[in-house]
Amino acid sequence: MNNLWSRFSNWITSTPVWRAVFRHGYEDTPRNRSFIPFSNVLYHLHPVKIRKGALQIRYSWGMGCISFLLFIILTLTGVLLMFYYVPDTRRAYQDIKDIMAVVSYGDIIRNVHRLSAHGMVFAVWAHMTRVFLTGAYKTPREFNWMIGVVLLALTLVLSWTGYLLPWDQLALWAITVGTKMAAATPFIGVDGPFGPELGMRPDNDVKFMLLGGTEVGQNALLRFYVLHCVVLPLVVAMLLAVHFWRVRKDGFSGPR
Amino acid sequence: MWNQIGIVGTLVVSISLITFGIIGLTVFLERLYKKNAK
Amino acid sequence: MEMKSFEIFPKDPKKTYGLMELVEGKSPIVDKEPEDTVFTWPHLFSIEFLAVLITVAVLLFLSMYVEAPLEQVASTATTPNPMKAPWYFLGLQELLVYFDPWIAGVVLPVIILIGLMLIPFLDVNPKGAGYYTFSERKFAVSVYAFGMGLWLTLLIVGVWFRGLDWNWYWYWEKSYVHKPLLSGLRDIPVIITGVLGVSEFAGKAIADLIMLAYFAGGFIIPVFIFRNFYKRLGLLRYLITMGLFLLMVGVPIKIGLRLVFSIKYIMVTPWFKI
Repeated sequence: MNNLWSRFSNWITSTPVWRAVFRHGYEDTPRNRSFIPFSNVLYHLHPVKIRKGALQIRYSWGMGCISFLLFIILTLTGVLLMFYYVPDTRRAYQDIKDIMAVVSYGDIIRNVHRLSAHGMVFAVWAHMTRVFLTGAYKTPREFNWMIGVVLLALTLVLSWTGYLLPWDQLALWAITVGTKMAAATPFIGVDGPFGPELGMRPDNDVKFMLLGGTEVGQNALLRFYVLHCVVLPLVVAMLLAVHFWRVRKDGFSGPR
Repeated sequence: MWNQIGIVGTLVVSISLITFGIIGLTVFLERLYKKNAK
Repeated sequence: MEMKSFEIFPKDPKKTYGLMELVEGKSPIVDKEPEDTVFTWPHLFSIEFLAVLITVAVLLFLSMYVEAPLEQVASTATTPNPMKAPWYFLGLQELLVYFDPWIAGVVLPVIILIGLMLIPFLDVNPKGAGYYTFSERKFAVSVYAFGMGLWLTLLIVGVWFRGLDWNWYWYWEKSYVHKPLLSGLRDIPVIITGVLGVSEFAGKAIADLIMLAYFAGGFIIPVFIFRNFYKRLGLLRYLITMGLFLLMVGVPIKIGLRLVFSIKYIMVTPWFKI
């Protein structure tokens, strides 16, 4: 039986179709070990070789890895949730209830999404603290630090835009408080200092732009939905690409 | 009045704990690495 | 038998270098490189895989027991009391007690973010890059720790110590019983006018002078006490660093003034109040 199987697998792995898709085998040679990150589009984020010191968790805490991992989990669970949710104020709340009660494993998907969101805010904060305490923002890594701060802000905005989507009391009033603060922005908010002097009215200031109206209603829900599901994840993904690229270029800062 | 003292006290304690906690964490990690290097 | 010989690197009179030795090894490097590197597959990938497994397991386990909240359907008719933002914004919401919305909600967060972004350019200390140290970076780590302390304290207060009408509720107090709202808040210009018996205009002017003195003193005094610090930073970096530092320390000072002396505004102008 074994002989039959090994003969069959040897034949399969030598066919042109197989060899076209899988270009190298899995024998444990240094050449193959190099191929795995080198010839794979997702894996070649990693270098082929890395300093032993860079693997120390007690130096890096692994929080950057966890943040990225949670972002991926959020994207996957988010897409699953998108199949059952419509950003219409007349049915959004009921959709969430359906996800929790009717959809198979819907409650697990929504709970994982929410827990990952909170976890990502914490992980990003912990990552920033670690980078600061190890001085890994000093020359030549200043630019990467700035990108990191922008990513932190985007993480918080992503979380906040997602908060509105269930359309419950928590959502509506959290966004009301937030946009009230936006209306108090100096110069561009109708309630802020120097705002009215510059022509800001309730129907043309920054709060109006955020909500698509003067109150938190259907327009706001749609805008926040598009921001949360499309615009912000794309921007974060692009900035993440730059962020990782800079780590590869500047080198990992850890011990030798 | 005691309420106010309690509030101010809570804030002072909390700020101090977290500040010295982070400083203490850094000192601990510094010593950990020095010990391993030796 | 004739042995066919071939040269791997053929000798050439024009070349000044030649092949010295060919050594057979099992790996691309024969001995350890100066940097002591290992292959990412398997070493880094296995650590990451472990992280993925643990994170997913923890998430799935927790999600069975921790339910995402869903309150009643949105209605503009009733406002929940207390109306709390998500926990990561509660630091800001707590600041709203002590500052006007445009400061607490816009100016301070923007200054915090800009300040964070400027850290690499303000930190001229060459030490501490790539390892943990406090003894070599006392100022940087202390300032960061203090900033974190402020932020996290405000967050903790917002999460656990604020109840109905955003009043202070201790852990043991009943959260559904209303408490009397704070009253009797006074502004510093008004206090000065009352205490010193000067005109309203003079009261405002003196209050403005106090603010000015705080910043002026904060900028000028360290130049003389910490000469080295000033010299290393240079004028521009020093101004930015001290400016941010004074703003940051100003927050707990104002909170203290409010809690201890019931002072609402320090500086009052027709356009904004601080």
